[in-house]
Amino acid sequence: MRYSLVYRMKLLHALQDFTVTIERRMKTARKSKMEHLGRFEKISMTTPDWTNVWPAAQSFKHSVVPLPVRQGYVKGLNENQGYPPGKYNNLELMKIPNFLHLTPVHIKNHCKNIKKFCTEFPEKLMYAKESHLKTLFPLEVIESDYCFAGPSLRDGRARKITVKVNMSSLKLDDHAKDKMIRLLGHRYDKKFDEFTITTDSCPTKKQNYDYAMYLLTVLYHESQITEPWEEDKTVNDMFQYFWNINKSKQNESDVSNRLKYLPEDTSEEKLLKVKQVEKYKDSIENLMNNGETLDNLDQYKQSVLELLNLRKTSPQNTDVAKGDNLDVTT
Amino acid sequence: MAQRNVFKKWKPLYTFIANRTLHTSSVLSMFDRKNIRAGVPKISVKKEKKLTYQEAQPPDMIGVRKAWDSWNSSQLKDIFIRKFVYGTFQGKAKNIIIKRRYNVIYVAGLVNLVSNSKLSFLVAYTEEILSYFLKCPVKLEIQAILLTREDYFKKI
Repeated sequence: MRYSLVYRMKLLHALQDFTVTIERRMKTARKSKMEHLGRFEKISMTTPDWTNVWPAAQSFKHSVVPLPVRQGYVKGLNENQGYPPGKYNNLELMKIPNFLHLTPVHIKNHCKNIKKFCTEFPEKLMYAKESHLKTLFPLEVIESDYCFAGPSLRDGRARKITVKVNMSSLKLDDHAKDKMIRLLGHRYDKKFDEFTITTDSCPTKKQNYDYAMYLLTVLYHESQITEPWEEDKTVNDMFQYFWNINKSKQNESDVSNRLKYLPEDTSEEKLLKVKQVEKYKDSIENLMNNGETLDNLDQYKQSVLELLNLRKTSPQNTDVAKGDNLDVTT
Repeated sequence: MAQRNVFKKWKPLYTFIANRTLHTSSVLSMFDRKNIRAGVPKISVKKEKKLTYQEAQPPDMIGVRKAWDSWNSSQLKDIFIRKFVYGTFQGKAKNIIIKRRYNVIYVAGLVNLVSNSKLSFLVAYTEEILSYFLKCPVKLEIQAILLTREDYFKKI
């Protein structure tokens, strides 16, 4: 199909117009590329103006950040002519989180604005030792706040409360302290004499804190009360070893009672004159000099038994046991 | 003795057991990258294919030379956002980064558009509509760039 000349001329004109507009557009495009590369040259990051340019956390913007940053791995000359890619048209730089909103200038500004809400730190506490602080502040409550990046800002871990108390700050007598330690179980730390109560069963932080305080009061009051069944406590139930009630004392008293036949003033001369000691001395000399025979050994055995007062009758009665020769020769 | 003969009679010659196994070959190590075909662009004959930095890195380099495209966001919302932005910007926003800072979703990317009015309209439109869809504020951090013939990372 052959078009008329007029039609062809019109087409040609239209085409020329089109190319002109394209060229014009490209010129403006090139110009604006140079233009909007210019902002970063005007700003320095150390001046307070930087806080106005980059007020909050933002992704990296090549036109705004004045640093000549490069990001990317190049293996050889065929990749970006051997140079790590610059900041223009660099998606990698935009992906990673940056801290351009937390420069020293920013921090200074933050501190200046927060300062008006702060009070002075008490001077006496500034140099206080930790042990002294513990007596001043016996209760320690540990709580955490979390910020969550998601549709809901809430984090489930924030409801946990930990309460630490020094045992010595509570006025407890021996029985109460023992009972409290039993009630606390694994929460009690013997080394530092403090116990830790952790609560996270309630949904909110306040509820958990109230529950922890409630537990504290209950523990304290319960340990003061003595239940009737607590009298059944035996020596084996005790946490500590008390010598007074245990077998060792009995043993010691046994021994002391046994040896009561010895004279009161235990000087060496008097001791040697005691019959039992003499007998013991004779039997040992016999053994050494005449060797070991049945008779000798039997004699030795008798002498030791007499010396330690280990005769047939029990030594608890301090009276003279039957069959014992308790002649003390002075 | 009788029992034994019976047992011998019942023993068939062939035993057909249903065997289901997987045919596995040896593990292909990342050092023999020549044989790996996944995620690697094909080399052109005249070495005229232009690649960006993102395309030039093989997938096992994610986390090494290439960072992630989405941070702190869920998968389903991600896909929706990507498709939406790709469509609205008429294919000029291919690789976008989705970050989440607290409640706000930030969509960052490089767009090959320079017309100011067009860009501002598209940005506002996507922000508005995505905020309504996803029920949380959506902010776009789009950077407009103009790519020339020399703006490529690698030629394959």
